[in-house]
Order: sequence, then C-alpha cells, then structure tokens
Amino acid sequence: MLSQVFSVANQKGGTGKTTLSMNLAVGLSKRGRTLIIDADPQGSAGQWAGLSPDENPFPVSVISITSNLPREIKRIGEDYQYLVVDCPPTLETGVAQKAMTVSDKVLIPILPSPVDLWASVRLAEAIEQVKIYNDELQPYILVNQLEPRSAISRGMRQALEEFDIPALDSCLRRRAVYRNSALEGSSVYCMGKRGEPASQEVDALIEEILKS
Amino acid sequence: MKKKVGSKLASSVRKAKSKQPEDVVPVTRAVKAPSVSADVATKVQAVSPEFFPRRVWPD
Repeated sequence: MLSQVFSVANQKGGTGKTTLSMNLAVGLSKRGRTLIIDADPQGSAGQWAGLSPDENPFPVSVISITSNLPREIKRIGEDYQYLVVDCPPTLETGVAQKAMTVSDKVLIPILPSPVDLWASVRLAEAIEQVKIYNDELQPYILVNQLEPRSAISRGMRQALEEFDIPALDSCLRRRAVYRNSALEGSSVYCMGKRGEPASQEVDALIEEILKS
Repeated sequence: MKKKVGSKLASSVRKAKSKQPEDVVPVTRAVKAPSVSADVATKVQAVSPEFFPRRVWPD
C-alpha cells in the first residue's frame, strides 16, 4: 500500500523541520492514511502531538524511531499511503541518511539567511552520497519563513540556483500561526480563519511535491 | 536591490561550496591525554566506526 515516504531533513537546527513535518503530514492525511516518524532523539514531533487535548488529538499519529530506520519504515509503511520522517538536525549519527535511503523525496527547509544557505551546502553533498544507495531519491529545497518584503528573501531564488538541488516554487511564509499551532498541539489546518493562509500554502506545497 | 542581494548570496554560496573539506575519512585521531605536566603526551586513539556515518548507515 505504501505510496510515498517524505523525509524532512537539514543538518542545521531551527530551519522548521518539525513544523513542516507536522503540517505536511496533516495536509497529506486529507489525501491518504499518513504517519509521522519522529527520527529526532529530541522528540519534538512527539512533544508537539502530545500537547493536543484528549478531546481533540493531533490528527496524525506520531511514532518515534531512531534505530533500524530503513527496516522499520519498510515494515510500517505497508499500512500507510504517506510517511513523513522528521529527521534529526545532524548528519553525524547517520539517521538522516538512513531515512533518505528509503525515501522517495527529501524536503530541505532553508531559511532565507546566508548562514542557512552555507550550512546546506554540506547537506547537498550528503544527499549525493545517499543516492549511491537510493538513486530514485528526489531532493527539493523549500524556502521556509519567507518574508516577501525582505531583500534577502527576494534574493533567495538567485542564490538557490547555485545548488544542484531544485528549489520548489512553493514556499512557506513566516507566520505566527505556525508557532501558535505547535503551542496548541495542533496544525495550521485546525486554527480556523487565521490558519487559512498557512494551510493554503501547505496545500500548494503538497500539490507540487505530489506532482513532481 | 534584489539583484544585488541575490548576487551577494549566490556568491557566498559559491564560496561555501569551494571551502568544503576534502572528502577524506581518517581512521585514527590524535587526542591529548589529560595531564598536569607541561610535557603532555599525545596518544593515538582508535575512532569507533560509528563516528563515521557513511560507514554505518547503509543497512
């Protein structure tokens, strides 16, 4: 049954991996059975879902797996249409690489900042190494926390051309509702009217990655 | 303005790419043994294979 495995990875912390994983998974769950795999020992995805009230639980289950990841993904994945793997912010443990060896696509959230761009250079090299084992892996850069009025945000497209990894047309803007949804153990899809612009951009992202 | 900032960012990425370390995996590393002596001995310690993700991540 397993349709697609999406890893969300970047060895730099604070780029929005968990925020993207959680909202991406909820968006995907509207299209098919979805599971979040928390591969980060920090357990942020599990903490996020754990904040949801009992009467209104987070709409997608989260399980924590940090060892035997490829084997577990293959085993668990048979019961789901979509798996979203929230990878740890490091390449040193090999967990992110293991996730990518069994993923269809890896999404790399990058903030519109020079430091984030520089840090992602190494990830691009790691992905090339993973492709030795998974030559069908499709990596995509996603600009996260975009601020349209910022000159650096507007200059990101030109900078991303320097990478060998394609950048998605979709991007996620910097919005307070993403942080607020984490605080409520929810997703932008469950934040009412204030969550609409965010859920629309997550939907646009999903449409783009499912077509690619 | 957009082009100028974009060009600067692109240039900085090119520099970051060119400064990537050589893809050489060492098999040992030197560590300093804890000592109060000024003449600190250096010993070579074998590094666990787990230190190198590429050695362990393919299942």
